[in-house]
Amino acid sequence: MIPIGVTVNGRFHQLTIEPHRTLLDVLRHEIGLTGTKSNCQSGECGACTVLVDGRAINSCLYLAARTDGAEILTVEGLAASDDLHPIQVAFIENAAVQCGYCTPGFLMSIAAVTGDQRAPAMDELRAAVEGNICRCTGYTGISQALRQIADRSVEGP
Amino acid sequence: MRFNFHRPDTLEAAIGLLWEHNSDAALLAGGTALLIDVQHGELTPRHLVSLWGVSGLSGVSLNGEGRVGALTTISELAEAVHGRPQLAGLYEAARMIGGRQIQNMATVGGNICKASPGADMVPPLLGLDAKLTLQGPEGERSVPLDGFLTGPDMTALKPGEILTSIRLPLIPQRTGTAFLKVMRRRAVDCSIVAVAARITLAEDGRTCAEARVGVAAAAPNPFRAKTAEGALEGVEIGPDVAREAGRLAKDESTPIDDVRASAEYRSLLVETLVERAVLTAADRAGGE
Repeated sequence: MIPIGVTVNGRFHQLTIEPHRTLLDVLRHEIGLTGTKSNCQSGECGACTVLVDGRAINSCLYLAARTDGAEILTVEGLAASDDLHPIQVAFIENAAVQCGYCTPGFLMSIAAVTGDQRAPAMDELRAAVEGNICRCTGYTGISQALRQIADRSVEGP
Repeated sequence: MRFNFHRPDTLEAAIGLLWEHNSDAALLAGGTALLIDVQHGELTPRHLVSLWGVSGLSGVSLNGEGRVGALTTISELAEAVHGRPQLAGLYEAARMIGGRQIQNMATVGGNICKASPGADMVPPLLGLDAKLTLQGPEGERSVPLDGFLTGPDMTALKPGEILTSIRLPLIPQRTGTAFLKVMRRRAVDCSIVAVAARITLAEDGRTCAEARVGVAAAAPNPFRAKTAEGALEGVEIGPDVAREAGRLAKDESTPIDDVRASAEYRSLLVETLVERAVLTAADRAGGE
């Protein structure tokens, strides 16, 4: 068993975990944050994307043991208050959500490049979500949401 | 997925653990390849030796001779070489490995040591005459990347040895590089074929003084197409020469049929991509 101290969405957690457990597993089953989705378990679909110290990673391939001392941001921490984050608003206004399973991953991949409160160019936003797959294939709405984010200078988390 | 987890603080301790557990141990860097195999039961190492606790293994320095720490992530490398015209091929390869999430986890050393036939970082690094620094129970040695890979999933690493850094010799002036990759989709997929080229022009700014052509996913390991390189050196690079280099590189390839493409299609890709990469690299060398 490995002791870790990790900050998730601004809240510090002290945990003791088995070495084989992934960050995805620990977020969902130890910390109770189920917004981060489990899907391909191979780093191909991006549904499990979270930010570790500001960088987007696939939490299905990231051992929780590695997060000792790290700051994690999940979809639950994206909106600082009761108001939705501008990325979330852009997704809603552009009907970029179909079944919704891929949505938290997309939101976090985008949050990684809007973090310093600048408006990323469209090609940077598209590159940011290359590692996210929507199995409903609802890419038109997602693409429109990206356009809105590029145009409106979304403030980061 | 069950294993004994080791997180040594020093390189010496990591080498000791690898040496002690030998074939029962696997070295964990970014984890993007190893943890998939372990989670899906395709690999069952009894000991996982993580390198996260060992300092000094990551970071990029490009002043004079270049040095890339083996634990440098693909993203860190991309950011470090971005905007350096002579390293455009390296940047292009880095940004085509998985999506950003994978690039933020996967390491340059891991991409080399996994020894996948389609390892995308290898062709551009072969093009730069990269050398590898290896540390093991018997000390340190330096070997060329060319020849380090000895088959699919196989390297020249001895028991207990760890790749610690990749060294890039000083790049001559009038050098251009390029990387091209074809996948089934436009992002986040293994290469059907990937190709890197480096062209260094002579002082006259026209004749090719030195050429490198690296090819991935068309042989058991990424390789240098040396007859193609030979055909490019000493002549002025134009469409006919580039086409001939493509044809020669195709003849040097030994592609297979697999889930991604047929051997025949791969051969056609090698020919076409080498031609295009050579022309792009020559163009960039001239425009420098």
